[in-house]
Amino acid sequence: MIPVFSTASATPRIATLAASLMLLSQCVSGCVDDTLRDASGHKGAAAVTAERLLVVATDYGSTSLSWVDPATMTVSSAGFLHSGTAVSAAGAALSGDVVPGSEGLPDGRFPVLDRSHSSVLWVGGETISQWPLSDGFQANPQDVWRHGDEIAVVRSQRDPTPTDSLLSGGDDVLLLNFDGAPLARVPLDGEATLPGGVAFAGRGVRLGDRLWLPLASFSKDFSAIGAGRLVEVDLTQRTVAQHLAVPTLRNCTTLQSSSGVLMGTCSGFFQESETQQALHSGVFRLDPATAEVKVVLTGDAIGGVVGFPVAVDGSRRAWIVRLGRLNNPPRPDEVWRLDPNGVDPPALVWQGSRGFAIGGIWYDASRRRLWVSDAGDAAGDLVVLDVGAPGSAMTLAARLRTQLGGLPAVHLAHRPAP
Amino acid sequence: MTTWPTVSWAASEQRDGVSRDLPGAATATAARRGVTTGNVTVDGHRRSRLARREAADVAVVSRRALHQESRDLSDALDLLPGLHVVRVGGHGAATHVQVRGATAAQTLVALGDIPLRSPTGRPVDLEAIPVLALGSIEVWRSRGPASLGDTPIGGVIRLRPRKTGPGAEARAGYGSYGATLVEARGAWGQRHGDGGSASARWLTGDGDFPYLHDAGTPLDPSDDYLRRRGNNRVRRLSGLLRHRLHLGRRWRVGLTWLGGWRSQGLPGLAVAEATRANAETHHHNVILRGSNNRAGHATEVWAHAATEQLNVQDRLGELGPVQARTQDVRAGELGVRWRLGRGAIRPRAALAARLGGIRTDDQLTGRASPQATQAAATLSLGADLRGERWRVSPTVRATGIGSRRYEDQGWVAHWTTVDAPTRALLSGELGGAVHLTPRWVARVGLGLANRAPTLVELFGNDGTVRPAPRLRDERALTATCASELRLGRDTRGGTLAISGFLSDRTDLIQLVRAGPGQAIHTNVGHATVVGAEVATTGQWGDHLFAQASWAVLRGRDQSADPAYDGNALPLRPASRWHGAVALRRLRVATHVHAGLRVATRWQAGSFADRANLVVIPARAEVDASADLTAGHWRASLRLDNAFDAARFDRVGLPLPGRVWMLNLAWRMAESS
Repeated sequence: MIPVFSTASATPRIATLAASLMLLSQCVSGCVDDTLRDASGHKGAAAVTAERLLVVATDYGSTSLSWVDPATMTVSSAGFLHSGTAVSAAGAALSGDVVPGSEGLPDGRFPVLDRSHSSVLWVGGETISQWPLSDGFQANPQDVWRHGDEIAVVRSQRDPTPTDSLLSGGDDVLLLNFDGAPLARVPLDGEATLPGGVAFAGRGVRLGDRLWLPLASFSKDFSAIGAGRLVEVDLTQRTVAQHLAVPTLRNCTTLQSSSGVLMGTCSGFFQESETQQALHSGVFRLDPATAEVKVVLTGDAIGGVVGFPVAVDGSRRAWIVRLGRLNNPPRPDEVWRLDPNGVDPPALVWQGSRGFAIGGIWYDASRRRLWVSDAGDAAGDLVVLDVGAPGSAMTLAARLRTQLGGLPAVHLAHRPAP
Repeated sequence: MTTWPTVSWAASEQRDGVSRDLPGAATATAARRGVTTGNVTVDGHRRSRLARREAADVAVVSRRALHQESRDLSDALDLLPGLHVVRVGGHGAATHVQVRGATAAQTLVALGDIPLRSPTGRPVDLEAIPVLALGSIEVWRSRGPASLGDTPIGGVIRLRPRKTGPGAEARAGYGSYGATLVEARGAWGQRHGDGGSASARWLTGDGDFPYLHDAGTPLDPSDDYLRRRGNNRVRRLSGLLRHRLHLGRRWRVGLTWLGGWRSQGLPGLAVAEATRANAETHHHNVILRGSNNRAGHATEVWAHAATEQLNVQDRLGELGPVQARTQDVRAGELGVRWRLGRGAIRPRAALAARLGGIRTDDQLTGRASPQATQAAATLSLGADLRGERWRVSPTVRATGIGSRRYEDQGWVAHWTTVDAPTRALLSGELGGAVHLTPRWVARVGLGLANRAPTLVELFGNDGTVRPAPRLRDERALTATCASELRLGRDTRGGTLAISGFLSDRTDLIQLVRAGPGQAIHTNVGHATVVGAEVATTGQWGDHLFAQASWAVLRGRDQSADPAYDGNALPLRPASRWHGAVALRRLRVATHVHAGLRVATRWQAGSFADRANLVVIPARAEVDASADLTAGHWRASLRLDNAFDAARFDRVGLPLPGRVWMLNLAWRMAESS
């Protein structure tokens, strides 16, 4: 057997070899880095002056924001801000649980709520600003409205260790000024329909000085749920004006309005069997003038659980999502059209790519288009349906691919021109 | 003069009793001289008897590396190429290891030849192992020993307990942020006869290190402030007890207990720190082994019983929903192994059966969640073939697994069962080694590995994780190659080890959000992982040592979802480098010696998310340590991350910056 090296002269060779390898590996190491590319997404500081659709793309791990022009149906600013825009040991710019608010500031800045970080981000203006919405607890903010020179934020979770700070509290409506300083809070915990539970308000509608909010009413460990309820908050008096029961339905999360018609969805309890959950899920209509709540449809009428989004076209029609399943066996999400008056039977209008793929729907009343986000559709995660006038045939207007940074569109919000 | 424990390559080979029939015996003999003169050889790629028999490429952390430099287990493993130790807190916090880009769940930890696994799929917490009880640690990358009954996708961390033999030693340490450590070991009996050992480890840490907090506004650095991590206190007690008896001339029986207790605060994410949430864990493992060696037939029977109780208290709901839960885990495993120890073809077989169950009690509602159980049996067949300069070691393995969940419908004692489909897994590995010269070994390997879904993945947790009983198994096909070269002799020499691998991993399981507060485990696609590791060590005379390692990893998401296709796999740095220079045994007075070690670590940036948006930046750290030895005593001071570089492995979970630890060790007598 012939040794490769003579042991007598091995030492200097070893030293040379080892030193060379160390140096070489350290030099090369610096080049082997997956992150050595332009990951900055801070392109959104420039003001957006025209009407836009804000698209929140997320896989619930990270998030990116894009502007879409609803007139031309094109992506005007892709991924202008995302989770990686700023990263520190304490957190990323955006977590994976982000939703848009309902109303922005007069200068055109539009709110984006980070539910995990308990903060609100204002985008679309000359500058991007961020306000904390808690003093360090998980406030889980759900929606934002503007009322005069105040901002109202609904926070659905309670502070487990409350302090005297106005940012403490939770399970309330928090009022702030336009600089983000807290002014007051309207507690909602007394409105929970489950004794000792949290009211857990969702996404609502502001009508003048009044804010209508759907309540989910969970127990503190989320193992039980109370009856569905709506509350009316007087933003001027900073009190709860009244509450209304939503008969038979549970887990009411969303309320939308169009031409004075208010419709909302309740999705039942996710820890129930699917059959039970479908029975407790449904769509209701609120008449704020008479304070009457009428259940328009329950989930069993469409053979499944009614999801969170709802889009309304006055009293003519509305669209909802029937939740699919990921397995046992898999079933895709579906978009159904229904009659707000409850006369015409519901009809299937669009089938998503898979279960839990359709995150948001938005009706563009001026162009009679229905926008649907489908997180699982490789051909286009934003589907635009030309729904025409009531009774006319629906056509596919466009399919947009907004999957920026690998994230599919989930939530949609309309930001009118400032 | 007392010499500190020094384990050389040759010493381990001699102890294993295999050096005589190896082509490299001359080198072993030379190095053996080093042991007798008290020299310390450097770490390197050495193989245990088991690794040698199965022609596997195995890296070893020696006892010297563990004890002389007063390292923790995780610190020692973090220096090996191809390994990535992930911490989620400060001193004493739970620590897991990832091997070659696999997840911690895809990496098996074994105590000797007994796998430590939980039906929950929770990876073994390395901080729960008493370090003084260990003789060495073997890292099997991309495969595992055939005797374990599993072919893990990432690899195996095999913890080898120290041999018995009379002696005692202890160490105590105090460090920054309230870190204390007291560890002791006593051994009795004879090294190769009846005897045993007991080890205990007590560890505490306040974990109140400072970090830069963004005040809830990551985009606005103007309001950032320095904040101390709160509710991060850890208390741990763990122990390892072993005793071995000879029954007659041929049977040896061993009893091992490994257990521990941990109480810790749960600080939560930095954006919403919890102040009172806490968790407490108890775990016990009892292992009974009997082995017989007769006429070259080595037979071993063993039984392993494990219990684990996890109690999580968050009655205020600081981490999410209010919870006060106790999870009880029970598992038992029986096995038999046989091996023929003679001849050029040495067949072997192993059969193991295991049963495990989980039950969760909700203290808030008084309800017990449905119980889930899993039963599995594995048959493993293989052979070790050897020639004068080569070895080949094929193994095939068949596993059957059944999982069931018992559910009380409506809480009225109306029990129903839900079965996940019974699954049959076929796995195996083929290893080969060729001694090209007495000092140069080349190895190749091919492995088909899989991981069956755990009970939590199949049946959920009756809270936020929904059941997915039809999940498919994770699978990986991996090819490896390695080369190991030894140079020099006596006190001047070194090693160079180069290895590479290519792994195709399919049906990877990931927790995917399925609604508000609801998530479900899903087979998300597959990934290709390619990597290479280089490790070199050198020794110049009796005092100067150097060591360097470099690993590159290219993990790519081959998802069916075009949005992720081609992205780098998250939390896997593409490159890691480590280098160290040590001066040892510098005589400063009669019977007093000093040592000094400086090390640098560099880790490439990685992504925290699957979308590759959130970057965990590259980081470089410099560590230093100094020690003073006098007779039976040794004092050492360690300074890690000397330049106080900001660190985090997971976004939202900061790690301490510069930390120091002062250790004082005492050793009664030379033991194994």
